[in-house]
Amino acid sequence: MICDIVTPEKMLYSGEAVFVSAPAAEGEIGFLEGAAPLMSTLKRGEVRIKESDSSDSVHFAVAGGYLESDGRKIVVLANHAMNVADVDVELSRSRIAENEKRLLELSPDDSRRAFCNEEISWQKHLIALSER
Amino acid sequence: MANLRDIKKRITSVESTKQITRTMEMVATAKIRRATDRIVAATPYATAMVEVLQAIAKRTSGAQSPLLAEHAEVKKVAVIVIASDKGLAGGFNSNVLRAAERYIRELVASGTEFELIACGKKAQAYLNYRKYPISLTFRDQSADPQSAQAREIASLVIDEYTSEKIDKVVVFYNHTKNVADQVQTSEQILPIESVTYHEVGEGESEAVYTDESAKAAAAKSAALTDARVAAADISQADEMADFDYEPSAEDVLAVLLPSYVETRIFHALLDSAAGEQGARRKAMKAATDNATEMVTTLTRIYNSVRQGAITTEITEIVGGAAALEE
Repeated sequence: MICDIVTPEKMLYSGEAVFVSAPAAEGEIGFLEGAAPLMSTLKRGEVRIKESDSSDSVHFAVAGGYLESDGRKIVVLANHAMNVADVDVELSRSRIAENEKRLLELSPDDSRRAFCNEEISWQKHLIALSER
Repeated sequence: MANLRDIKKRITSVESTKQITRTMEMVATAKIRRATDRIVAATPYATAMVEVLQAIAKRTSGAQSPLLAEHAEVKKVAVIVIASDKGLAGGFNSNVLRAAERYIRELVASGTEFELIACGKKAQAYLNYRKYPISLTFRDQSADPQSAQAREIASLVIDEYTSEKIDKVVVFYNHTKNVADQVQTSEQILPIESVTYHEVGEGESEAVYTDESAKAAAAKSAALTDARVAAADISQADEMADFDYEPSAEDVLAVLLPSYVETRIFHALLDSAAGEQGARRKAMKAATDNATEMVTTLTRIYNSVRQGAITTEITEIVGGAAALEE
């Protein structure tokens, strides 16, 4: 089974997998070779990919987008995705601080708030996963 | 007649300008490659998204997403202007800025309100100078656009569009036709006009490629586009029908449309970034050529002035000697 994780910027991951678990709309879903075709929106969470029976899983933080599986190939099209091992906690913290500062400056009904809030929750998600 | 030392000074100055422009030309050439690579890297996401949207659009009969719904009356328009941070790129910035300003003037004339999103220092400076209010500005990112920037713009316009603060979103940018040519383009982002979604794929396949490996990637992405269109036409509708949708096809569509908006904005940013380098290379090449020509002309003048001076001197000596003999 092939698993691809695609972000707006690039193909983040593409490789052979024996087991993939992902945060689908109605809960965590695990996929094995030959799973029934499914298309689901993606919640904020974590995609775990087991490349072979003996290896440890690779963990990716993801948020937004969808996943598509036809039993042979899984495509995770995520708005945000990052390998948990690559998370820079310091950088995430500074992003949070930056956006919190911006939120203070914006009026409560400003449409620019949506982005700041999303960015903050994404960075917090990254920190939570990497510190686990 | 100009004196020798002044001409010499000018030649040196033109020479050093030429050195700078030639370096900038080479830097731009290298950056075109990088910008193109980024477009190629962004292709899988765009094609996959278009594929799914097409498949779902076939299943859901005219989904009632607020992003597809046109507002009855256009009272306020959001204009996204994408220019560059740095100048020295020929008409790159002025083309897009002038087109955007013309559009703003039309809006003002028809009594429509507008809101501006400026990407690139040049856009900001131009609009600021003309006292147009800007609600979102991006600086120092034009050569290397990040998806976060597209996300921020998309999040703003989607929020405003769904809350009916704005009724239309238009983007002005330079589309990279090929390495040398940029075409000033404007596109409507919201409401999403059709569910055919061709633009994204098409933009990619005709983007700029400078060397063999990039060309191969281009061919691949073009093939992908073709395959996608063909598949969408024949087999995909059937194939996709077997999918289980969670929570439902309509919900998946509702989640994907905002991402689609984001993708289109991101694509415009990437396209403009590649165009910026192309325009700069072209401008710098012209500048280098002009400098070379100028050095040739100046050297010629320098030589003739020097020769003139020598001739005068000889005539004087010969004249002097002749006078002594007599």
